[in-house]
Amino acid sequence: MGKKYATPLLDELKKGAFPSFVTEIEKAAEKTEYARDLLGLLEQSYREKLTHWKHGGIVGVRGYGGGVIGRYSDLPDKYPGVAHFHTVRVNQPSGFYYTTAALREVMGIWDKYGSGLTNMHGSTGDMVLLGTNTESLEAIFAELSSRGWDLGGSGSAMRTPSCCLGKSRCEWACIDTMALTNEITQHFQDEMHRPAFPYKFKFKVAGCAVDCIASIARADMSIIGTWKGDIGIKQDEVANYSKTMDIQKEIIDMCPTGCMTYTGGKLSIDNSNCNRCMHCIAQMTKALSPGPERGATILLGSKAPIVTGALMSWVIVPFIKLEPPYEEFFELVGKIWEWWDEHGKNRERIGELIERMGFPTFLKGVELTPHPAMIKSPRRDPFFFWDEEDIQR
Amino acid sequence: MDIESIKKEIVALIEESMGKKKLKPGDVFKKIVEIHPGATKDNAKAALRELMDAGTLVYSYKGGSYVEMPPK
Repeated sequence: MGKKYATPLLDELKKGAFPSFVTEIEKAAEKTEYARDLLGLLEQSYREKLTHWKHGGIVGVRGYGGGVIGRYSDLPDKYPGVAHFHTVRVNQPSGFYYTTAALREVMGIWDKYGSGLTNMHGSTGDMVLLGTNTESLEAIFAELSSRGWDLGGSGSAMRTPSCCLGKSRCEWACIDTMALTNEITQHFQDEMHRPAFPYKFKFKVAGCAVDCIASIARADMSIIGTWKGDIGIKQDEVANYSKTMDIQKEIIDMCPTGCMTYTGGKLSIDNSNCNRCMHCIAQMTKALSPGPERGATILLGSKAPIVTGALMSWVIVPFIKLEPPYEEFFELVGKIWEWWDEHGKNRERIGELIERMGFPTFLKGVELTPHPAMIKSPRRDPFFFWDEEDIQR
Repeated sequence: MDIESIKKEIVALIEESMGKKKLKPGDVFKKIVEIHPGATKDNAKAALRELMDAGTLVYSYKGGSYVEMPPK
C-alpha cells in the first residue's frame, strides 16, 4: 500500500543511526487507516508548528475512571482515521516480565481493534496502546479482561505501580519488589480505577539504592530497599578485584561519606558513617553485600515538572521491614491519602502540598514522629541549620 | 446508612452542578457527608461506585478527573 500523504519533514526523522518512530508508524500504515492518517496529521503539525490533538473529555469503559486517555483530532474531516485516537493503558506485570504468548495475545487484540502502535512502556510503567476509537473501547476491555489483563491508572487516581525486577534477577535486592508491587496493585484496585484524589499518585518500588527505576525522582511514594547492620565483606574476593580495578580510586575515593579505607590489601568500612548508597556493593558485587537486616526506606513527594517544577522525594520512614501482609505500610498510605484529600488543592501533588504546608505539619497530620534521618538529600535535613562558623568549629 | 438515598443525593448533586461547576469525586464525597447526616466517605464512595457501574454517571477528564451525567 503506497503512502497516502507526502511527508518530507517526517522523512528527515528516518535518517541517522537511531531507531525512528516514523519508520515504525509507516510499517503500521501498511495495515491500518489509523497509522496512515496519523502520518498526514503529524506532517501537518510539523509544518505548522501546531498541535492538532485535543485531549480528555468523557471517554472510558463502564465503571472505570481511568485506563483510557481520550484523544481526538481537530481535523476529523481531513484525517478521518485519527478522528478518535484514544490511548489504552494496560497494567504491566511486575518487573515487566512477559511470555511471548502473552505479548502476542495483547497484540492480537490491539491489531483487531486499534492502530497496532504501542509504547512499551509508558513512563509510569503501563503497556501503552496508542490509537483506537470510542466504539472499540468496551470490546478491547472485554477481550483483555477475559484473558486476565486489566487497565492501568490515569487521571486523579493511583497510577499503575511499577518496580525494578528485584529478587527475581538481582541478589542484592533488599525487598521483594515484585511481590510488594503486586500487593499494592491488588490492595488499591478502587483507588486505581476510580479516581478520587486531588491529582495523580505514583508508587515505584526499587530493591536497593541503585534505584534502577529512578523512583526517587518519579514517584510520589518511592520505596527503596535498604538494610541495617554491617556490610558483608569477603576479603579474598576484594583481593581478586584488586587485580582488575583500582580499589582506592574507584571505590574508596568515590565513597560519598568517606567511610572506607583500603590499606595493606584489606578493605575496612566504618558502617556507622555509611549512608548505604550501594556504590561499593554495585562495583564489587562478589566481595560486598548489604547488611543482614533487610527492609526499605520510604520517601514521599517526587514529581516531574507538569503544573509546577520538579521535586525529589523526601525520606519519611528511614527503615521499615516491609514483609507480608504489609499492614503497617498500608495504614501509613491510608493516613497520607486522608491528609492529602483533606488539605490538597485541585491538581496539587502530595509533594507540593508538603512544600506548601510544611514538613512538620505533614508529620503531625499523618502521625509520624520526627527523626533526623528524614532527610531530603544526604547530609542535609530539615531540623538543624548550620552557620559557616558552626561548621568550622 | 441507606446507600440508595445517597445515590439519589449524588445524582441530584451532579444534575444541579451541570453547566455551572465540574465536581471531582472528592467534592461529591465531602458534600454528601455534609448534607446527609450519618453518611460517611465510605458510604459515598460505595454509592458512587454503584452509579458508575450502572452507567448512571460517568467520569470525565479535563486536567483532572470529574463526575458527570453521561452524554445524551
